[in-house]
Amino acid sequence: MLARAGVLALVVASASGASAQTGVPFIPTGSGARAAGMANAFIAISDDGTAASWNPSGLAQLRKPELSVVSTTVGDSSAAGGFRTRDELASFSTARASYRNTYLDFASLAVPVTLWGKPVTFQAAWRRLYSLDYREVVSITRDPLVPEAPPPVRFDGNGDTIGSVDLVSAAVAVRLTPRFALGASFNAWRGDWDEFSVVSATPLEAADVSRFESVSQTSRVRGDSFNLGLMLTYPRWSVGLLYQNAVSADFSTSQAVTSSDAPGAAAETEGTLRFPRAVGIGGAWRPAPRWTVALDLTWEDWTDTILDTPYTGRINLFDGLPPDRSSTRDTLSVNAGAERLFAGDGFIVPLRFGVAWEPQGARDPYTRDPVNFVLLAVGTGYNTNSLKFDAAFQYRWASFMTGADFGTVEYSPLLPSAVGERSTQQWRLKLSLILRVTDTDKLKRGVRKVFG
Amino acid sequence: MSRGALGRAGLATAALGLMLAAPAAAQDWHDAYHAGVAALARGDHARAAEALQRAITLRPEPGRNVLTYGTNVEPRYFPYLRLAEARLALGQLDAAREALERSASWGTREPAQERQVLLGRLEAAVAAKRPPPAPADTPPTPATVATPTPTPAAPAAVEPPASAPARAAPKAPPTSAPATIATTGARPPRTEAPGTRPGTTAPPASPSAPATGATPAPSHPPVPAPPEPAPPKAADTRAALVAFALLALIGAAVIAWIALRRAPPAAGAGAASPRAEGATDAGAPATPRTFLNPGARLDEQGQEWFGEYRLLQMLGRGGMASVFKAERRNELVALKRPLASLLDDQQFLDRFLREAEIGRTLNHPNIVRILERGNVSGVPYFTMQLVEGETLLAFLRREGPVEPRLAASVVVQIAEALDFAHGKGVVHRDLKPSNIMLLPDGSARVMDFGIARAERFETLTATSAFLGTPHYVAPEMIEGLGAEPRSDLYSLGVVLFELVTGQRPFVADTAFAVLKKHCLEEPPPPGRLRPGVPPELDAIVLQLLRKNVAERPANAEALVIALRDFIHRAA
Repeated sequence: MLARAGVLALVVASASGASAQTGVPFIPTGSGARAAGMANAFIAISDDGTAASWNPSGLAQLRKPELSVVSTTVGDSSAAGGFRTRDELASFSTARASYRNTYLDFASLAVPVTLWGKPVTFQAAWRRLYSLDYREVVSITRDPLVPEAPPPVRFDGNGDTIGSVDLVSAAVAVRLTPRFALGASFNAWRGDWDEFSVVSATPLEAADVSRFESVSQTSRVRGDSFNLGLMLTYPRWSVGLLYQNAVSADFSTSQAVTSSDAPGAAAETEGTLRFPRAVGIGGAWRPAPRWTVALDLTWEDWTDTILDTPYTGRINLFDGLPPDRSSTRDTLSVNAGAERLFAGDGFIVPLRFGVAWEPQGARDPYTRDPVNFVLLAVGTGYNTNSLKFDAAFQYRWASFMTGADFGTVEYSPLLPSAVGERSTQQWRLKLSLILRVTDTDKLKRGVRKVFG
Repeated sequence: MSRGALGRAGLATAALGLMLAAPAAAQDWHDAYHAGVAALARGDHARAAEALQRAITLRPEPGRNVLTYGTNVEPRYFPYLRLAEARLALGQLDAAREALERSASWGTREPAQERQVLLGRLEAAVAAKRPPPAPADTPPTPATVATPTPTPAAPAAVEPPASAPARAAPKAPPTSAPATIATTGARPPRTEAPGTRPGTTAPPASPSAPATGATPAPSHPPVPAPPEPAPPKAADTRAALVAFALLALIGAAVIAWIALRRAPPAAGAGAASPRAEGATDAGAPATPRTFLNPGARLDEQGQEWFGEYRLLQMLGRGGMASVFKAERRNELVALKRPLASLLDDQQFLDRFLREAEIGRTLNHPNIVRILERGNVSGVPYFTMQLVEGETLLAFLRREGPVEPRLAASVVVQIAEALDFAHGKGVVHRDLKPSNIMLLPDGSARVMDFGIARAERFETLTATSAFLGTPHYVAPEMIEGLGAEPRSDLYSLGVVLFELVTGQRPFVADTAFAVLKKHCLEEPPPPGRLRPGVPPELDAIVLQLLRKNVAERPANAEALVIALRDFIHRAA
């Protein structure tokens, strides 16, 4: 998670790991191209194999076993521009960084059965919540604005991150009445990632020598959480409610720092990481037989994102400040989407689109400028009763003022040496493949064949 | 245990408790519909009616490709037809009629062909139940007086106009029955167990009138549900009667004109001759009277001739045509000609000749060739290669099921014939054991290529009686979606199934029920019915019998390859 901000943030924030998270779209959304095409407004729909990642109660709508696979390609580009030191002595060139990553996002098997006379669906799922496989290279130059300013210098950053945070989930949903469904999922969090970064400062005038700092860090997270959901379904509309409890995870990290200014140092620490709870409510309305319009509101308790280790003490994960001084805020996201189905003979081609307002909890402690992502989404697919292929494209962006320190100087989030604007654009292409077993007898025969 | 764990355990317990305590089973309209169709398939008609009624309550509007949940669709949601079928089976004729009327009120959202067939069955059932007419001077019994008699408000039209008012009909509960009951003061029970009171179950008209028996139905004669609840006017009734009488008069005149026009043209072929009847070969089907064989003539010896052909023996007679063993200049052929009753149907005759012409182009060792086509006194005919042997039907009746490898070796020949014909754009459309000849040398040949189309659905739609066999027809043809090459593969799948098991995959008491099963029921694997059938052959048969055309083998060639592979492996 910490590495998600990339080396650009590392350069800007001087490897502190504190405000590095600012500007990263952190909201842990569910999976599935159908939902993605509707700008993630899916809490009140959740009627396919990816349901448990949105609202587990939606699984109760399934009538046939579904096997789901989702892949995501993400492209991220960030820019830091217009930075000046607070004393107006120097300015910084615009720095850009980008990365692209493709990964398997989700895989699940959902099996509906009838228990006690009620439709019950069980699902086992694996989900990649955060993929942390990327490399970034960035360069930024500090130029003096006045003669008494420090000499020009170029900062180069190179970072590699490998790892992920995954969830293994077991979910169950039951339809208690024709209108009311209840669902729950248990999620085991497994996160492992390695980061290696080098930041160097190279004087552009011959008198000085280069300085550098390299950081190698291995992190590990183990925890669990559960989600509860309920859904009211009527022919023309439905309402979904979701509660995600806070993740309480064991966190451990080992870090080695090598610097031109100080002897190498290594440290290990263990503690707990608390990832926030969330509450979502969604509504879906079907104004016409093949139209669906959905709206979700999600509240996230980001102020409760606490890292507690002997080394750091109890701090907010995003800005590195104690909870009572943290700039991190709780957020309310708004996601709205629509779906229009065009039916052919035995197949359906959907057209989806949506827009969302996704404020982030993390803010720069100095500027406290809110980071609000705007998301546009479109999607389509080719669906039959037994095979569903969906694709969605999401584009989100945000820009905000932030403070920064550069190079290897001591970092102070509350009083940075420079202030400028950062902007982030991110696109995601999600592809879903859902195999719906319409011939359950065949499946039973297959199971019998395999297991005797 | 930590507080968090306790909390989670508590929540889980509460959820489990809630799940167990909730009283009602959740069900959607498609669940109810599937439950109804499944019950129908297994013959549990009371349960089927109940489930279908529930489906209608939850979703009154029928149709094809109806969205269920997500992006899934129900390809054929025809609850009224299924309900009518269940009601018919239960003997609830009034309720069946009402279901059909409601089906009709939705226009083409439910297939008219099936509705027509059901209506035919309904009428037959009503006729069977109707008591013999009582003497005119018999005074009404007290029971008759007490029975509520619905007013014949309007003819029981099954096919309503496709206008908006007609569409609105299901949204209004039937009003004529309660009105009639109110005038007599004899209110039937509000609800009843299916099957216990035939004719008293009233399906709800809309979600606002659910199937709780809130709207009682008449207990005796069929009462139509008029689109509009306004009471009929006497003048309208009179006008309808007059119009009906005029139409009947015109119809009778047309029939009389046709009959007069069809008077025997030739003196020699006119009257039925006992000598001609006696001339038929013993054991063979009796040659019908000359009146039914237009174009034929008798020579001095009483031998029947058809143009240049001497008719030796009737080989078979179907619903549309007769086949004779015939001779011309010492050459034996099979001669086929339409039945007399179809000679006025120019469209049929055109197709008969056109398809015969198409058949002439099919020159393949596994196809019985069509040799010549012609016309005798306005009666079209064509001749075919006369093949010695027996039909697969006769073989099956004599031998029963055959070894899987032998079955595959027969069917692979048919598949090769189909592959050849399909390549020429010809679809058989009526493949069945009686259309397959087995020769003494073990080879198989397909007959009647291209004729089937002229013999198919006209019979179903025009007379409400399926004259052909329903056992081999593909689902898409039943639904009126037309035939394509893979429809032949489905029929061939049924033939293969029958060859290896000795029985057909779908068996029922009525032709209609068989057709339903073709559309809705999954066939059992042949191996389940006859141990020893290899799973590979099971898979081939089941793939051929897929309801979805796209899931069958891509073409006959693919089937040939698969069967050959099986034969080689079995060897």
